[in-house]
Amino acid sequence: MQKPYRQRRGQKRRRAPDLLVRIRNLEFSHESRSGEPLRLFYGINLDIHRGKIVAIMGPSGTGKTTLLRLIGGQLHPGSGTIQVDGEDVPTLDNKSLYSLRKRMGMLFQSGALLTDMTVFENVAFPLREHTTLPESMVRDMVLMKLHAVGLRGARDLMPSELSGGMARRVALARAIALDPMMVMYDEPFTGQDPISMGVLMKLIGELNRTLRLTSIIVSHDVEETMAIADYVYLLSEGRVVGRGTPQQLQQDGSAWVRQFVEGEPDGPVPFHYPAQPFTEELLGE
Amino acid sequence: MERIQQLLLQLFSVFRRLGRGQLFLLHLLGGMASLITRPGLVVRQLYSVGVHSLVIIVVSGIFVGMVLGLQGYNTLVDFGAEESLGVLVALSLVRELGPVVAALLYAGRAGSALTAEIGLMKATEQLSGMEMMAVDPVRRIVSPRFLAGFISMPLLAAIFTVLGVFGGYFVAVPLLGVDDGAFWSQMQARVDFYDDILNGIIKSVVFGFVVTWIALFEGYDATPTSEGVSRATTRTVVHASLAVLGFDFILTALMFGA
Amino acid sequence: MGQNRTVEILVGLFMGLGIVALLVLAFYVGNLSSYNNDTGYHLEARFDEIGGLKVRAPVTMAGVQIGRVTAVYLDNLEYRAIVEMKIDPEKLSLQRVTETGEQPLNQDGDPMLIPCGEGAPAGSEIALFPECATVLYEDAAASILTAGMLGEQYIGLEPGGGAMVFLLPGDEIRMTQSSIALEQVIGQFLFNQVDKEN
Repeated sequence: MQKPYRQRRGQKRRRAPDLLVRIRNLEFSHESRSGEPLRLFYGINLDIHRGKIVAIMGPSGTGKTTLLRLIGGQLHPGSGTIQVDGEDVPTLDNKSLYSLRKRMGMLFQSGALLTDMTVFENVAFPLREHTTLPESMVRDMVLMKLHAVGLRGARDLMPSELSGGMARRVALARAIALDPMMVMYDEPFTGQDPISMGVLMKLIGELNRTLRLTSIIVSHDVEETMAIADYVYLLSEGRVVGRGTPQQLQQDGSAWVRQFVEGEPDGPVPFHYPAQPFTEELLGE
Repeated sequence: MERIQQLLLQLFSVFRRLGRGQLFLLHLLGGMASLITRPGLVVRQLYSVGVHSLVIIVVSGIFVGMVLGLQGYNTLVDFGAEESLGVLVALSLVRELGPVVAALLYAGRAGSALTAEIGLMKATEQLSGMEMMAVDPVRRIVSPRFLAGFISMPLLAAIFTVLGVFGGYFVAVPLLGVDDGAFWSQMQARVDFYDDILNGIIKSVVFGFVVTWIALFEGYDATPTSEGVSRATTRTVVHASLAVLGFDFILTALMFGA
Repeated sequence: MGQNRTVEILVGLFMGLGIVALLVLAFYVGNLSSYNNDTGYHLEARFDEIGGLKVRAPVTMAGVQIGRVTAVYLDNLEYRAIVEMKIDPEKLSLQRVTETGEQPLNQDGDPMLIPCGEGAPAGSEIALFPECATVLYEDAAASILTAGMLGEQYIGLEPGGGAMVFLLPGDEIRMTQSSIALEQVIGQFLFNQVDKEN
């Protein structure tokens, strides 16, 4: 159902198409176990507009999850700026970082539900930690969130009794418990059967619309992600190699983007891990 | 040359771990204040740390006391001093065996469980998830466990000691025929509250602090894989046991030494 | 909720058990109960030899413990050991004595005990000494005894009675018997045996 014109206009003005996340010249290196730095990002620029569903895609191991952690302030960049809602995340002190995080939700790949609590308590957890609402109100809010993900009936189950897809939906209910301004999804579709995949896609789209969220999806499931995203960034080897709406990307001429989008085994990303020529190795030195 | 370099690197990583451990301790102690408003968190941990360790402590305490009674009797009876059996059992339990054995059992039972629990929470991203929900996992998860361990250890050691004394009594008086009155009166005359019992309690407080700290840190610092968690659990038991024995020597030297 | 309550009950039981254990340790296994009577009066005695007497060794009279040794040190002039002890007034009480330090007598001429803090009974005209005295006479004796053959050493007091005057708190007990070293006794015994045989 469409809203009356005036209300829609008011909304538009309040939520001007400004940037929620703004990343400039981001460089980051991991420290490997042997102590040597491993460069992951070489100067990334990324903009995420309010109210959009933005996907960040790329092959495994390109640091997509790391990027989410950088946005959430769990990791510190080597250089560059990460601004979320106008605040420069790496320079925030603990207190303001925590108050910023209250406005972010994150859905972990594993769900990251607290295993010693029921589904209900898991969703209630952020409310209990950050608010002093009376028990009846906590209950109402939790049931509301659980209803939104379709699991109101599963409130008394323990996380170990949930299927992977259900666990992710509970985690989603928990991520939106505090009514955040944005939700970050870490590989939401990985390892899901077609039905729960469909459910999750519908949920992500619906929540984004109804709660006026901004969504960041990190994924390598091309089809599903392309289907719901408004804008897509492609990452590879520490750089943004492609950007645009899904339609633009599908028409993009770059060889790399075509390989990734079409899922071809060989191309700019070689099939073989770098090695010395096979014949040399077989014949020995 | 390369070997020296490797040795130095290893030394650095040891110091780094130590430093991380200290910072971790400061962090978790900082979380203590907020526990006053939420005692329920500590009660739940007292249950899993204290109550769950109770069975092993009770059984071991009784048996250790009984063994002490038997062994002590065999030695003392040669000198006709079997009336001093109460003193022997009580002093060895109060000063040494109570705190030390209880701490070793506690490290094996509760310490390893704490490490595994926190390590697994880390491996399954529960700690990171909490961080993203703007909840400090050290304050929310680690601090209550630390406080619970710190409270439980002296109580467990006291239970161990008392049951050990009664175990020794059971062997000495009904089984071996040591005089009932002499057993208790000699014990009461010779076991001093400040010199013996208080020092024993201080020992168990120190052990509780150290073992819980090691267990929690190992879990929090574990590599977040199944192999990493299992290694951390082993390290907890080994390091905590060594720490208990080492600190026992230092404390004994301070308290009862020259 | 039901599960929560079980947890709370069990934790409560655990804490209770632990605290009971601490109390048993303090009062039943140990000797904390002997510390709480800090109100007591001092006496001292000099011995030629105290053997293995230690601080906190018991002080007894007729086998009843009435106090503890509080300090042991050496008199550098006489080379004798000075033993200070604290006596529990509940066990060996303080009393009022006459101005000459003697036992007050009632109308019939029998000795009577006026507890410290009370005055002379109404009707009598006894002039009392302003301070409280002990119930030990001036010729009370202290000896160092051994519990059993190899047991610990303690002090035994005897009230005396040859003198008329009572000791005041803080006074020195003059009649003392030092500890008997087992080696000396055995030595003397053997010596006597040899003498007899000759």
